[in-house]
Amino acid sequence: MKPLHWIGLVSLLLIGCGDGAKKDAGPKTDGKKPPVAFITNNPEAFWNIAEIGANKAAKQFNVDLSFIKPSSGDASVQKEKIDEVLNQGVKALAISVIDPKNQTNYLRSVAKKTILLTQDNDAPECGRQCYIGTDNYAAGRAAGALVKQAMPEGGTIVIFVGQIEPLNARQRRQGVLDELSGEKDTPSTDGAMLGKSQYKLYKTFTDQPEGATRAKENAVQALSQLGGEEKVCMVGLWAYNPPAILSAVKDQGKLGKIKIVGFDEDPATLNGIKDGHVYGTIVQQPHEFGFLSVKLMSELARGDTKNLPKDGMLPVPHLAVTRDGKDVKTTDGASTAGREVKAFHIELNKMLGKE
Amino acid sequence: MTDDRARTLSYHSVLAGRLGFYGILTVGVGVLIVTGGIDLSIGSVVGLCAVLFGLLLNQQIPAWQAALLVVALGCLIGLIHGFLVTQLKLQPFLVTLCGLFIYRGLARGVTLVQLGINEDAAALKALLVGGEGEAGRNQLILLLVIALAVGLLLHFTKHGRYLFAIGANEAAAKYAGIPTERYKILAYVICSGLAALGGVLLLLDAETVNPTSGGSLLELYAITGAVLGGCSLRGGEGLVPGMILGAAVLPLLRGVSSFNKVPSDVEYAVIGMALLLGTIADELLKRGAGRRE
Repeated sequence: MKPLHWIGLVSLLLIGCGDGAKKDAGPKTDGKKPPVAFITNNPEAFWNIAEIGANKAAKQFNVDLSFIKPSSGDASVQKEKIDEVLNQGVKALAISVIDPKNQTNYLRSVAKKTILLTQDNDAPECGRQCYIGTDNYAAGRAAGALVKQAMPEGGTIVIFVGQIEPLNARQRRQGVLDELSGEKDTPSTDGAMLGKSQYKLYKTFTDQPEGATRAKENAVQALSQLGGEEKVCMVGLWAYNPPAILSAVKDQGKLGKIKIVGFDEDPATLNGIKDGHVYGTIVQQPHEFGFLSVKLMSELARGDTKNLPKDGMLPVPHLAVTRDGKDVKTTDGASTAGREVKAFHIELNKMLGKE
Repeated sequence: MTDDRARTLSYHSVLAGRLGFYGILTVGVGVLIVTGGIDLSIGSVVGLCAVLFGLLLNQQIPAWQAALLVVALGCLIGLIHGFLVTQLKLQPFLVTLCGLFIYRGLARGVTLVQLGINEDAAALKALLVGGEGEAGRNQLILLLVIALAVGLLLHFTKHGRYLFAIGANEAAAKYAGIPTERYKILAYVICSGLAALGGVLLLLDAETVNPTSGGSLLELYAITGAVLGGCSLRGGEGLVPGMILGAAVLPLLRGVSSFNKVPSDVEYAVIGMALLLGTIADELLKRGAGRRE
């Protein structure tokens, strides 16, 4: 039992050190800086950009921000983090919900204790004051429109995503399928033609919990299974999927033959677009998730509700990044602003402090 | 080292809940480690059992029965592990590592949707985990009840002495007439049975479980807790109160890093370093004491 004593001592030392550092920044000592928290749904690199936006807003609007990335995408791990910040007395909390249906009940009890916002992934019934994030269905439709541009004469599409359970994955996939079929609620049957269109869904591959490594294996497998097919477009719905697809396509010497459409702004995806190996990617604006969430929390924590949207929705528009940077129109009449990949990449690097 | 927010009843309830949950898994694997065994499948058993519990609730099976069925399944898993280790003489590490993959695969195979609980389970939740605003603190009471039973078995009965004897020297125990195989199987049953109970608690507490990630890594937390609490991985050593204290270390360290605003990206590193520094300090102190003697 002796190691315990020492670990206890080290813990106490840690508490001691932290206390010293906290004296000038802590919420207790500075009544003007309301403590607020931003909790993500996993530890992926995507959230680094949101963190930059959140920190910027925390400085600008004078709040004491805890930006927390739980160690896995599991709701029980996220719950531990939420309980912790609640007990630290946060005045407002912005959460990316993992399981809207089953977390709603718990989140209702959270909303009773503090000001609750949702970002990135919503749970409309949980008593949150506002949702800040992408319309994932519309973003899926925009990705579908990119597939049509990349492969106008029709062909086979293969979808890759981490898991199919999360709402954003389901909505994105449905958006892609609906845009291609031209119908609402297109069924996602493997091997079936999509509505009356010329597009066929081969399969949806999932890769969690292994993630990126498995994502590449999946892409390799799909390529070998579809060996004979001429017109194939591979669609990656989560940030690491397009780079995994690209890497597999490269390994098999099929660059240029297989079309790739993706989501998010992984550097490999952006470079792939520049090289002409990836047709385009739909990007969210995670920087805005962070910035707008913290800005709104700072106002609500001070009792200022004038910027709280009446319908409780603060949509952050998605963008279509391609080589030519043209806007993308979908068959439901919506339009997605286009960005030219080189300019977008430079802007992004500047934001991340890489250039 | 003062932070008023860490002194509130509600924060202590949160800690109690976590200690209860981790403690139950730790005591389970602790008994197994005492006999010289190991179980790497705990996290996957927790995940599978949480998923099955959710599915049974979906079928409108009363929550109590569903929980008992799931715990019985956990015991069956332990029985299979024990059988494979004692009868086929397979290495425990390998058997339970295969289990880790099998149970995770089964959890994902039976459903891909995230499961929740129903109203019937709310009463069971209030009893085992805690009602609204109680932050899961009843899990600590449950842990204490379990620890009392396991502690009595391990430290005050001949069965406990046999379990220690097997861990210290299995061949000697066998020659002394102890039915070693039966006791080893018992240890696996206790370990997996408590892991299954962990699965029930996980779903009741979080009200959601993801077949892909629910419970993952928990075997490492449980084993770490048992070893910190004084169990030797070579077997034959360990105390139930030590296991409980060992199980408290990880939740406490996490709380400490959260209060001190350790960035979540480096939280694992900070916790790992604290554990390592503690272990090094202990080893150095032991050597110093050895020299003085």
